[in-house]
Amino acid sequence: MASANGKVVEEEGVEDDVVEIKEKPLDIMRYMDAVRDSSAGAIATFSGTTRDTFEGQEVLELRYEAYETMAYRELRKICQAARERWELKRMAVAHRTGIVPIGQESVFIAVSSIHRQDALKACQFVIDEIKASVPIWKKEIYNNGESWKQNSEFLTRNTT
Amino acid sequence: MELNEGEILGEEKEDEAGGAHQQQRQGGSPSGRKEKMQIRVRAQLFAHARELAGGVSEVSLEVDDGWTTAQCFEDILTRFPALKSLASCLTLALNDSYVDKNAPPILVRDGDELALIPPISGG
Repeated sequence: MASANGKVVEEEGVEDDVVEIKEKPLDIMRYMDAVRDSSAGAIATFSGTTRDTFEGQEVLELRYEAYETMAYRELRKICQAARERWELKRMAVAHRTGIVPIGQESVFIAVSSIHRQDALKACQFVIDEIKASVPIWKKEIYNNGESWKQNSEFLTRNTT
Repeated sequence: MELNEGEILGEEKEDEAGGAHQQQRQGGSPSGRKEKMQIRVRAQLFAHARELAGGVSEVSLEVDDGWTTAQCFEDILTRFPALKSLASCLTLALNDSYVDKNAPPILVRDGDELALIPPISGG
């Protein structure tokens, strides 16, 4: 992309963002390092961790599954949308699939920016959008049953 | 049994003697109208939808050229009636993009990928 004086300027873009869906523990430090940038004054992160209780019921285990090709596509669209709204340097978004033990990260987001407000706002935007549109499902296993969860953010967005 | 114009009948039938033979007849119309082309659509079922379909995660559909995503969905429901209990909250995706229920119907094409998406719960 050429700037006004004709020099080619490299802009951070969605192509450089790290987007991963893996059936393995999320390597948080790797994502932090992926968004680290000498011009950034801030890295904002979000970890979604699995909790042990839902409406009084003890959750023994959580299982996640993804429609991978579409989930990757939606995640990249979300990164692009965040970049259109805020001045961001780099982004990393990772979601774990398979069995996720209680207390561990199921999703991790890291965003760097020059000024902290952009990274903080983008980080919140990304998790909110993931909950509304990325085709990934969570099943909670209790000792007396199991349940596929439904995000209210998705239901709200898809109610006619 | 009456044939519609252009319909091919091919099935095993027992004749009066008790043996089986194959009958094949091509219905023709005076105008010589071609029968509809069949196209293949791959449908994927996820999460709760897959469970209700008895664990089937992928279905290969052969449908008429000109069918919509909604018609393909109805076809899947007739094959897996247990999905009907989830049908009202299923969203469709075609080639990795959500199908908007309020938008005009979308025609499927040969090789398309349809997905049955129960309410999501990632993040």
